Amino acid sequence: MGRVEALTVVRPRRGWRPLLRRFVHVPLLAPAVGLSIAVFWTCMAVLVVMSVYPFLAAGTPRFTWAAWQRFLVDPYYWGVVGTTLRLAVVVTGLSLLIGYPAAYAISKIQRPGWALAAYVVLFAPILVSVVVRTYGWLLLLSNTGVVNYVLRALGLIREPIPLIFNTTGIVIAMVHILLPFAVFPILSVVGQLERDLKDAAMDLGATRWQTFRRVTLPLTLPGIIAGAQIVFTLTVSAFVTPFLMGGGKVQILSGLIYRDMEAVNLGFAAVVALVLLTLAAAILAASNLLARRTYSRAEVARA
Amino acid sequence: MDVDVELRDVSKHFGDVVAVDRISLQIRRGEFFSLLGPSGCGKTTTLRMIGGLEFPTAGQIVLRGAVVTDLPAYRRSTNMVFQHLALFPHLTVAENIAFGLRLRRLPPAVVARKVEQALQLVDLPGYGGREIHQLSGGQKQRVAIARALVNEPAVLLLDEPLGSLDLKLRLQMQSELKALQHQVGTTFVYVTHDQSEALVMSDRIAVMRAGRVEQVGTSQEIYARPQTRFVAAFIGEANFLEGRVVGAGPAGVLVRVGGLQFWAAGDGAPPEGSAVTVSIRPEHIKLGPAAGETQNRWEGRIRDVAFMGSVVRARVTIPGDVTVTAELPSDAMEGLMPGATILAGWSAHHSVVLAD
Repeated sequence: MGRVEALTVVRPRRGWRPLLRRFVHVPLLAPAVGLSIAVFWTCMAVLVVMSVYPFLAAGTPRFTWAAWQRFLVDPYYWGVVGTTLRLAVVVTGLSLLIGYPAAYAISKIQRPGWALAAYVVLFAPILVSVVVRTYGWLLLLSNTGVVNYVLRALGLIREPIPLIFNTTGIVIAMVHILLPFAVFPILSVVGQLERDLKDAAMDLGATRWQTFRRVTLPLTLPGIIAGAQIVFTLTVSAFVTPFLMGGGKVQILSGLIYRDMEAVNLGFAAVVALVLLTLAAAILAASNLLARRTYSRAEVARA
Repeated sequence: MDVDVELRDVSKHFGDVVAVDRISLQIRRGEFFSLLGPSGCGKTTTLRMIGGLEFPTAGQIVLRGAVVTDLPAYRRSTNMVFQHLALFPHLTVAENIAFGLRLRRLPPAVVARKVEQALQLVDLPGYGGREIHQLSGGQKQRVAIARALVNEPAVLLLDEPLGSLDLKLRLQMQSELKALQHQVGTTFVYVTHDQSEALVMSDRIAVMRAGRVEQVGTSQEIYARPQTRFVAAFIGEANFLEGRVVGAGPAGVLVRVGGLQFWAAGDGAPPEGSAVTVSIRPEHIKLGPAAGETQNRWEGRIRDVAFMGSVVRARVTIPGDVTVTAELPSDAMEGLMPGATILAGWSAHHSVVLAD
């Protein structure tokens, strides 16, 4: 019997069916790949070309490193890079700091109705346009806005605290807008954490804090890293909110691109865009390395 | 005899559900004590209350003479082996075992030595560097036991730790656990729903049902002298005969079942006329010449015979239309023919009067 079965298995396949089976994924993948090539990679190529042939659009192509030189030599632009990264780090850090406890609490909600309510409260803002939400924050945080009004009414301050047209305003609005993106990946990991593991840690002598530090935190690290990556990437590339909340007083890379596009300074805009892309890619790659190390173990935890 | 764990009228309610209902137990130092019962009988909740992972709604828990009722798990000298083991997947075998020791801030050299000893104890020397997911089911089991025992707890709590293993490995781990307990001398409190597992390993067993303790005793006591029908049915198999008490004497209780009247053993004879159930183990029912030596014997008719490997089971109808199942060694199968007439009987002390 076994022999007969073995023979059937090794019988060579003929015709077009095996071929079809082999390439069955091609039509499935084609739209996504096609779109990616047409839009993203073509644009990338155009950007690279434009950064060294700045007048391509005007019709007098001439190779030059001028735009790159200008960016790399001028300390002002490094300052902008620094501001951009600092903003992204602060927003990411605050989002995680607020998002982790929130995700943890939501995963603990027993009654389905309350869980749904928590989801709605947390995730509904995604449905509202970023522009609308940013203007909302402008209203709340301006010198005559609700926050300053209440603080003054309570007698806590005499002069209004400047909360818009500076980094503080950008951070507040960005954290609010990106918070769901931090909560969601953490929530999906926290929800899968076995209760038994925490019991085991406590049984072995760990207090609640030690249990969190030694068991819960390391096992939810993949979710934290995923959330951080999303928030970080969205912050470095954000334009609308920093532009409106910063009121032109806080310069970041995306604002720089906008300025140079407006000025038809396409070569320089291309350089800034490429720098931004490289920064984001480098940081993502680094965090992926970190993630892979923690994933391999945490994945098994869920198996 | 020193008592390591004492439960005094302990109850646990989850909302309206009564998981544990006023149970009192004394678990002696160094004994292998099992909480046995069907799922949902409250045995795991009881274990978790001893370990401080659950807190009683009422009652007291005493550990080595100290009341620990409301102390959290991390302040008790108990350690648990969890049903699903709950090994930390992000730590190696050695780190898992060292978890409790490091929390106690022992010097690294001491931790390393103790971890090595624990690995020796569970027969996994050299496995310290392995990842948890690289281990087999049986090896994980041993790591879980080592992780708990390395802390030298006063009491080791085990929550059906062998449940996920296949039969062969389970039997092997049973004898290893028993040997391990003998070697370290720690008090083991073992939760299981598997009666044979409890009988094999335990010094004493508490049979639980619906949040209450039905009977506490050694394996032999529980098996030979069950006090309730539930215990008799849950531990092994039994013939149950419904009858009435018609008299009492030094030999036991005189019971009438249908048309039969015989002597049975009973603790504290129930009053005459009360309805009782008599339990007789299948292997205590003798057939043929062997039945000649029993006090209670009748001519019966064999209804059917089932061959079960090392034993055979025969159902025999005795006068009064009472049918009992007898279990005998396979080599006694000769001559057991359905329809044949045969002598069937049992000794008075093998028929136990139960309280319902």
